[in-house]
Amino acid sequence: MRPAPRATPPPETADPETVPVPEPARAVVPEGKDAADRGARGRSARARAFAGRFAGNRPALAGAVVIAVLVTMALAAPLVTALTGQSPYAFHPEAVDPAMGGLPRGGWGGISAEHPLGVEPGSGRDVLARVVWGARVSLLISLLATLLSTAIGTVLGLVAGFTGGWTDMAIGRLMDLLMSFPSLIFMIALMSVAPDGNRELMLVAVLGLFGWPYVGRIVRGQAMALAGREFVEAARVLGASRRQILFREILPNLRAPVMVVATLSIPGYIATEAGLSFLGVGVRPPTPSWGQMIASAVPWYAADPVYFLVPGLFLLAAVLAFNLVGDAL
Amino acid sequence: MDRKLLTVALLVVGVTACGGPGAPGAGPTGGRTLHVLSSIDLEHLDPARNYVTSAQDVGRLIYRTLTTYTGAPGAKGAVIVPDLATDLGRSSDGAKTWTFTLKPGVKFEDGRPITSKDIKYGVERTFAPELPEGPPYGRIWLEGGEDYKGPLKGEELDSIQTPDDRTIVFRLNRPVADFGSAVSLPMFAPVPKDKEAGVAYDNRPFSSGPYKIAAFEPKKRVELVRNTHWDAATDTVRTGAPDRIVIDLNLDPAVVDQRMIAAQGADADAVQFEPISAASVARVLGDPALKGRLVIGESTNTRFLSLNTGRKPLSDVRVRQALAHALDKEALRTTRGGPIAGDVATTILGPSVPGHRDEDPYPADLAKAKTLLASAGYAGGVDLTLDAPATPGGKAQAEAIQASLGRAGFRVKINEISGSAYWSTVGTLSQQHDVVIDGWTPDWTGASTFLPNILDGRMIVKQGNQNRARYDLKEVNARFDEIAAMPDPALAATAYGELATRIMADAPVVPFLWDKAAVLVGPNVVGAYGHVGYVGRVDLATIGLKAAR
Repeated sequence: MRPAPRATPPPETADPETVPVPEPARAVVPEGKDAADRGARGRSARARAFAGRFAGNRPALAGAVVIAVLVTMALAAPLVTALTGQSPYAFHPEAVDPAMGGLPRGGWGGISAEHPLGVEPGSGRDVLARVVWGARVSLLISLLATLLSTAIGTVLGLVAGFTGGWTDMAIGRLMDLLMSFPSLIFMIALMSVAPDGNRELMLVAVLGLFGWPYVGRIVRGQAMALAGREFVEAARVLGASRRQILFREILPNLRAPVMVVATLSIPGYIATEAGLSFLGVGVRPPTPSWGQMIASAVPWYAADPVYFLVPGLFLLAAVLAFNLVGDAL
Repeated sequence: MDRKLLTVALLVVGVTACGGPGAPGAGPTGGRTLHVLSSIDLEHLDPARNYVTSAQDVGRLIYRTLTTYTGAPGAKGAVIVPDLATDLGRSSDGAKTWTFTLKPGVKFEDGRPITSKDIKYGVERTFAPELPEGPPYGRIWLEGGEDYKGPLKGEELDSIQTPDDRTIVFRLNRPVADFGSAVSLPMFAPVPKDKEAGVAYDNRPFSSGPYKIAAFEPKKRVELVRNTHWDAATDTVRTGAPDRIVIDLNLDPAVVDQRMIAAQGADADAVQFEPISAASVARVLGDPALKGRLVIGESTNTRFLSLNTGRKPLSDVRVRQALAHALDKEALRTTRGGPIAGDVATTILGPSVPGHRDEDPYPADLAKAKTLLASAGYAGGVDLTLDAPATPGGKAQAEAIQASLGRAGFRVKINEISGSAYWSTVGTLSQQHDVVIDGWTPDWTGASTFLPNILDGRMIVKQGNQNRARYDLKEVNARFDEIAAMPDPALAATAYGELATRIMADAPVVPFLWDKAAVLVGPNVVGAYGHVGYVGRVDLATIGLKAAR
C-alpha cells in the first residue's frame, strides 16, 4: 500500500490545488512530526554549539553583560530612583547657580552623594534618575520597533520570495521605495505634524514602518533560495499546502538570519530614536530619553562636559553592546 | 516674540532737538567693516512690514523716520527725538491733527530730496492688503483708514495732506496724545513712489539713512555700505561710523557665542545680535576679559504667562490666582540664564515703563496656592495644557513651569509648537490652549501700546490675536478709552499704572521676567550699549570701531 500513494502524486503536483485531501493529510503529518523532531534535536545541538562559540567571544560576552545591566536598570528604574530618592522630574534650584547661568554647583557637573551623576544645568534635575528612566524609553522603543519591523519584514519578505511573480514585484518595489526614501527627513516631517498622541507608540510605528524592508530584503532572498531546495520540493511533492511549506519548511530555516538582522537593527533604532529626540521630534518633555538629554547638553559641552558625557556614554555602551552581540550570532 | 518697540512720549518733555549720540567713551571712528552675528532672521526690512524689534534695529541704519529714539543706554534711550522732522510734531484740534515739518537738506541714496509726499506714500503702503505685517495704527487712527486699501492701485488717503514738500499733516479719527512717538515706527519712513515693488520692496528698501543695501541674501546675509548722500549734519542720532556693516543671519546660537568668545580675525570687529545663551554665561562671567566685553541692555519687555480666562478651569479667578502663587519664577529665569537675563517680574508693567508700580500681588506661596485651588473646588488638582515653542529654550521653560506648578496640584501637559509657527498658532483662537508662554514689548515706551494691545477685550480676534488671556471686562475696556483720551502723558501713565493693579487682581496674566539682554561685542568695537527700544540689543546706529592698528 505505501508505495502506491508515493508513486501516484507526481502528475498531481503539477497542480497542487487538485491534490486529494485525505492523502496529503496523511502523508504530511508524519513528515511534519519528523521534521519537528529533527528540529528539536538540531536546535539543542545548535544551541550548545552556539553557547560554546559565544562564550569564547569575549567582546560578545561583554556586550551581553552590558545589555543585561542596561535592561535590568531600565526595568528597575522606579527602584533605582526610590533608592536614591531622586525623581527624574523634580527641580533642584539649590543645586545650580543662577548667577552662572544655571551651572551646577560644585564642579564635575554637580556630582555629589545626593546626585551621583550630577544634575542638569538650569533645572538641577538628577542626571542618574533621568538616565535610568531614559533607558526605559530608549530600550523599549528600539525593542518594540525591532519587533514590528522584523514581523512585517519577515512576513512580507517570505511571501514575496516564495510566491514570486506579481506579488514579488509589488512588495519588492514597495521595499525599494521605502529604502530609497530619505527616511530620516520623512520621519522628522511626520513626527512634527503628527497629533499630540502617544509619542512613544508613534515613534515605534514610524521606526518600524521604515525599518522592515531591510529585514524583508534578506528574508525574500533566503526564501527564494530555499524555495528551490530539495526538502521544499519534497514537501510540495507530498502535497503540502502553500501555507504549510511557508511556515513549516521555510520559516524555521530563516530563524538565524532574521535573528542577526534584528539584533543588529536594535542599536540602529536606539540611535535613530536618540536622533529624533535630539532634533526635537521624539518623545515629549519632560519624559527623559538619552537623545533628548544629549540634545540639551550640546550647548553646555564647554561649561559642563560631564552633563554631555553621561548620556553619551550610556548611548555608546548600548549601541556597542548590541552590535557586538549581533556580530557574534 | 515680542513685537516691537517703544519709547515714550512721556519722557519727551524737555528733550531738545540736540539729543546727540549718547555713545560714551572714545568717539567712534570709521574705516572698517562692522560684523553683526545674528542667530535669527530679519523677517521684513520693508518699512511698511517691519514690526519686529530686531529688524527695526537694522532698519534704523537704512531709513529715517519722522522721529526716532535717541541713542543712549538705559532708560534715556526711550526718549524720542526728531529725525526727519524738525520737532516732535505740532498738534491741534485736541490732538486729532498733527503737523510735521521736514528738515531741509535730507536726501535719498540717489541724491534726490526727501519730500513729505514720500512719507505719505510710505504710510499709505501699510494699508495695502499685500503688506499686512506692519503696525495697525494707520488703519486704526487715520480718518478714512478703515476703507482705504493702499496706494498700489493708485488711490490716495485724503487724511494725510502735503501742503508743500516739507510739510505733512495727519488727520486722526481720535485724539492721540503720543502720536509724536508713534511716528518713530518704520511705517513712517519715506518711500519714493517710483521705487514701489510691492512685496519685492522687502529685498531692497530705498535708503534714506546712513547705509544702503549693497547685497541681500534673504535669511543669510545683508551687506550695507555707506550712503554718500546721507548728511550727518541733519541727523542727531546716527553716527554712521563703520564704512560697511555685514549682518550674518540664522547662525547657530552656540556658534555665535563661541565666535564672540574667541573674537578671532574679523570677529574682533563683530557684535552679537541676540543675547548669549545660558550655557555661555558661566564662561563669560568667569573670565574678566570676556566680562569686559559683555554689554547688558535693559528693555521694556515683560515675559508672562497668558491664562485663558475663556475656558475652564482658568475661567475661575481663584485657579488663576493659585497658579500665580505657585509659579517658581526664579527657576524659570534660571533656564534663561539667571539674573543676567533680567529681573523677576512681579507685575505686568516693568520698571522701565512709565506708570510702573512697585507691587507684588502674587508672591510665591505654595500653601496659599493649594488653599485657593481647594476653595475653587479643585482640591484633587487641575489639568492644564501649556503652549510652548518647540525650541530648546521653550522646552526648558515649559518644564520649569510644569515642575513648579505640579507642586501645587496643577497637572500640566506641554503642547510643543514649532518655533516658526508659534505666534501664529497661539494667536489663533481655536488652536490656543489654557496657558501660553507669552511676552510683550510696547511699540514705543509707555503703557499705551502695552496694556490695551494685550488686555482690551475688544482686541480679541480669531486670528492674529494678542489678547491671549481673552480678558474682556467692560469696566476695564471703558477705562482704556478714558485713558487714551487723556491729553497729559504723565496723568495717563499714572492711570495706566492704577489700571494694571486692577487687572493684576484678576490674574489674567502671570508676569515672570523683565528682560535684559546680555551680548558680547568684539574687542575693537567702541560705543556699544544695549538700547531699550530694541529689547536691549546693541544700538547699531551709533556703534563704532577702533581705527585700524
